[in-house]
Amino acid sequence: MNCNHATTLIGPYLDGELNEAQAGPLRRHLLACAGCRTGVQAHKDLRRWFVEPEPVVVPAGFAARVAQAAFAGGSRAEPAAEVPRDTPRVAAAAAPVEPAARGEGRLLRFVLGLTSVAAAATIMIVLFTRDNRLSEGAGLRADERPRLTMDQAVEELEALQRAEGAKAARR
Amino acid sequence: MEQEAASDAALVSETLAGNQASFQLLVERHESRVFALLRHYVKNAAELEDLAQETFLKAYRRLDGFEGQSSFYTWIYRIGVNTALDHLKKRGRSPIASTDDPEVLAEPTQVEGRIAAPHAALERAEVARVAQAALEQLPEIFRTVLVLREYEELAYQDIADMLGISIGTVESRLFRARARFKQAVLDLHPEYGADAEDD
Repeated sequence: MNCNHATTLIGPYLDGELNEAQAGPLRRHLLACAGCRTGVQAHKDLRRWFVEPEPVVVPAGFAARVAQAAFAGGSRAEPAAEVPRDTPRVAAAAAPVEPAARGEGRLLRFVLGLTSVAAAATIMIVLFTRDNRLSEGAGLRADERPRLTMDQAVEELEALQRAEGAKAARR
Repeated sequence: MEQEAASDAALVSETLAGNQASFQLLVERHESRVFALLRHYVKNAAELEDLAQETFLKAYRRLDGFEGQSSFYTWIYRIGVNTALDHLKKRGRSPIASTDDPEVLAEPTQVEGRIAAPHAALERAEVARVAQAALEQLPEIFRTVLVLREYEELAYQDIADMLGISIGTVESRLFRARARFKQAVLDLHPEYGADAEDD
């Protein structure tokens, strides 16, 4: 074993991750190599920096709030209970209120939408009936006119213009 | 451990059956470790609580995918790490960007000089503060393996399972992460170098 290989194994060795077949040759190398033994000490020194700052403090009632928020969301597939990041955490406990508020908003939007559609339809009907009054007794057809191509439409328009011209000439 | 695993599995089943109290118990059992893990990624207490809540809510939604083959804490850790990395990504710290992926960049893994062990007179809180500041300098993939190994003391196999990488990659990342950490401490605090101490 050379020093480069030994260097890569020191970490796993001290982490207890090497089996005996790997650890044995490393130990023999360390016995013979002062430089790599220094590497082991350096590794141990490094690990002493990893200390937890202070005990973790979990806010009181955290688990109860999370469980409540989770179950308020209904199906596990729905992300409904997820509380927006900028929402105060206290509001997480009051999550059941949210769907009701969202329901009211949806109803309001629906009513407003319906009103505007009705208004637009009324205007359209008034405009249509003003310009397209049928003579009394004229038959009302529910079926649509057959679709015209652009050429057919132009031809029809020209025929109408010719008829109008002929009428004017007769007058 | 066996007993705890069985209890976790039972709580999961009860939660799936609609028992809110069982889920609350599951959260109570793991909340400290999840908070301890996540505080390596965010400093602010409110942000930490939000991340922890998000972690448990994600776990709840995916609970029927927990097959009990790994321990519950490994499973919840994986969700916690991913939640933290997503959070950092949203804040503009990408865990891995293709152009600066630290694993594909040719970088020196041997750092000149070494750091001494923290001096006995140094307050524990100060040691933790220095380490945390150095960790924050590291790319997320290195920070994560160091946190999982050095603070959470997870086995390589658990880290590999959690991150979806091979044991060889865990070894390689840890090797580079330790070198980077050492360099970061020396950059931030040259006075903690072993050579400086010898002088």
